Amino acid sequence: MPHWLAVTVENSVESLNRVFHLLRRRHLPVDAISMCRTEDPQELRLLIPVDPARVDPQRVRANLEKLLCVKAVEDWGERPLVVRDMALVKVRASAEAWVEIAQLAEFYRARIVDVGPETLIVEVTGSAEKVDSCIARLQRFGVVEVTRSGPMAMVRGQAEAAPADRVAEAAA
Amino acid sequence: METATMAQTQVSPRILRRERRRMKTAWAVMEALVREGVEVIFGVPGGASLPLYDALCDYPQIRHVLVRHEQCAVHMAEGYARATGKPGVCLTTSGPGATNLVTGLTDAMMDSTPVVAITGQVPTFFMGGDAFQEADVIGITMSVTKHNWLVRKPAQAPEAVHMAFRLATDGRPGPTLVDLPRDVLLTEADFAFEDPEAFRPSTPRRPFPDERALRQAADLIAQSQRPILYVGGGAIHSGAAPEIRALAEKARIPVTTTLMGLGAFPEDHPYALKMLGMHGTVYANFAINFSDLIIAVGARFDDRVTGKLSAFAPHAKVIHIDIDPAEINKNRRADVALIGDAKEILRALLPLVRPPDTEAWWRQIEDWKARYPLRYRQGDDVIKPQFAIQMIYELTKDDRPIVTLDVGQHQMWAAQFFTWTEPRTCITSGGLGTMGFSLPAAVGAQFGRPDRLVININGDGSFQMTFQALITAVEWRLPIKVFIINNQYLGMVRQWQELFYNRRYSAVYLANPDFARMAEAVGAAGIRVERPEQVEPAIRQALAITDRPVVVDILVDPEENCFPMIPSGMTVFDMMIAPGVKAVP
Ligand SMILES: Cc1cc2nc3c(=O)[nH]c(=O)nc-3n(C[C@H](O)[C@H](O)[C@H](O)COP(=O)(O)OP(=O)(O)OC[C@H]3O[C@@H](n4cnc5c(N)ncnc54)[C@H](O)[C@@H]3O)c2cc1C
Ligand SMILES: Cc1ncc(C[n+]2csc(CCOP(=O)(O)OP(=O)(O)O)c2C)c(N)n1
Ligand SMILES: [Mg+2]
Repeated sequence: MPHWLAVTVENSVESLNRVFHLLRRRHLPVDAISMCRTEDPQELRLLIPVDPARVDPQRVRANLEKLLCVKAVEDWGERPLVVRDMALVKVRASAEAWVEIAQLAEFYRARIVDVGPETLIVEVTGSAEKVDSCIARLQRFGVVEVTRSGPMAMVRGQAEAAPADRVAEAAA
Repeated sequence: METATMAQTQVSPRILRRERRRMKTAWAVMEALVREGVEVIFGVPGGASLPLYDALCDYPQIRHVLVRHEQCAVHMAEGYARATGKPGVCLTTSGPGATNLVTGLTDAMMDSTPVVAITGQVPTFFMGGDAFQEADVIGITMSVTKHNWLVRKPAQAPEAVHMAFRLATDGRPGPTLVDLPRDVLLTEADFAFEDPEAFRPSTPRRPFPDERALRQAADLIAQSQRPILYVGGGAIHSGAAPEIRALAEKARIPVTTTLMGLGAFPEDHPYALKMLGMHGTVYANFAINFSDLIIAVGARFDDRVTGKLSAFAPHAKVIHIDIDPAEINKNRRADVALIGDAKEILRALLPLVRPPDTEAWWRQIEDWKARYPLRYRQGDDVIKPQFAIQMIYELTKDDRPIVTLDVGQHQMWAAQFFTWTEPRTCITSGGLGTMGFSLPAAVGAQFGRPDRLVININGDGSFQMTFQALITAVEWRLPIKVFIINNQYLGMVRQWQELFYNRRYSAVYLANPDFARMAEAVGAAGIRVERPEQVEPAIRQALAITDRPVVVDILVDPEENCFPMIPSGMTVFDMMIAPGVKAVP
């Protein structure tokens, strides 16, 4: 089970640069970072699953909190989450294969969102395992390319939104 | 006590009235610097920073010290900061001027030294296009500053400068950088000047350690039998020397300091074990490794202190006091972590502390102290480097000098053979180990503390890395005393080749110039010393010269080694006191 950190940063190339630069420089073993927009266009949320067996999540957090572009680091720990991944899968598809692909899509509650002369694009959403499995099943037809969002997540049933973690100390 | 109050008056915020004025950005930058109380800037001008230098003409209250290499400027800023506690300021042009700062900024980052670097940048409309003298200074210095700012609009300039000063000193100190494109500097705008303290970067909410954690710490102390205080550079930044002493005395706990912590506890105190670590005293290393409780105050369990981490102080619980939460559990797991300013935490902790019974522990420590004092043998012929250093100490101690040390054997001998008693008097490059640090740092320290005697103990190799700083010192008639412990070797590296590479000396011999004549050539005084009996008169002669810098070139035993030594990555059981001789607990 990963230990999730939800990091709210300024929405800019520079702030992403700073976050990734720090993670690399400190050799903090995190990968699979996903980047999400939020209700606020000025900010982005980075979801970082940390494996506690490899690094203390509090160290990752403490380091990230040193960056001025990081507005808040929420420690989701192992709280119950809704986690969703999404993929667009372009499949080579002759007219004969359409029905079969449509049935497969139906099974995964996926949708066909583009029909080209030789290809279809399938949009699938769900847990990472479900998306993996759908892509695996589509391989048989010939997958041309895949793009994936990576996991997006939210804490279940929490009424208040992400707390503002930083304070500007009042001048004494 | 005296130093603590001094530091407070020095950093007191200057509350200035708000005002609004129209001017070019370069002038607004100067206004911001004045509001920060900047009295001296170290730098070299160039195309991109010309507007700032033009503005400087209108601000005679800020002295500009022209250096001969930007690395000197940043080390001077570091020396100034370490001597005073106030951020040091350096100023360079774009491209090569800025990239020459990288070593010093890295040094400041490693040693938590507050430095503000201001760099010129090519005009915004050229940026990203490989313009003449363009360098991606923000990208290049991202890893070696706490934060850096590229100013794209005039209004952001004073704010960036004020934020750079706040961040350099807030929390764990460190370097910051403001990059100023030339076109922005030349643009006229309306500037609103606020109280500098109004610009404060937001910080994560961190509550002061709660009563429970403090009680836990006090209980660990009361229950311990073999406690030790392990004091680092953070204690100096914090001004926590009086509280450390109070804790040591209340609970009868021995105190060892890191290289960066030298001066945070008086070494003439009976509880002092002097420096620990690779070249620390035998008794300090035994004490920490056999302890059952380590109270770490602003120290970061560096590998030069712990050696092989998994074997370090295996029976000890740890109370870790540090202002930076990222230090907790970084190298050594803490049983109780107290995050915050060392002085404040110790003040809260002190009333809760109950003295443990340390009778037996002290008997053990006294035994180690008696068996393994620091020692060397001075004969009649060659000067032993330790002897030279001890003489420098003896002849200057009454003046309470500020001492800068370079990197190598001489640094370790000085750490060992000086008796450090006062914070901010030992200024050296610890974390990065930057050869060439100490001479410019001495210049910076003298600017910060014109009232104090400033001594530089240098190596013949290190001196040649930033010799140019001497020219600046001559220009300003700084009475700095430079002592070169000249062993004609990159001695520390030679020692490793002798001990661990079968004496195969590779690229460590230094074909040196005559340093005394070099000094004379630039207008400093130069003295060369070759025999033991010349050491004392030469030091006295140097101390008598007060109108310019003086360089004393002391030729010492070329193949003297620095002991004790715990070889890199080894344990206290591998601690050598002479080649092939190990200390036994
Ligand atoms: C040739 C050579 C040999 C060396 N040999 C030795 C040796 O034998 N022994 C040795 O000790 N070192 C040695 N060093 C130095 C070593 O590399 C480290 O620089 C040093 O040990 C680190 O000191 P420190 O732990 O005090 O940490 P520092 O680098 O001084 O860090 C300060 C710590 O205090 C914290 N802090 C800052 N401000 C506050 C505050 N207000 N309140 C609380 N905490 C605060 C910071 O977050 C940080 O964790 C050697 C260096 C060289 C170049
Ligand atoms: C800039 C830099 N380059 C290389 C080193 C590696 N190094 C560490 S100590 C040392 C020798 C220093 O020689 P010297 O200044 O003569 O001092 P000594 O050890 O002889 O006292 C060297 C080369 C370093 N620390 N810094
Ligand atoms: Mg040498």
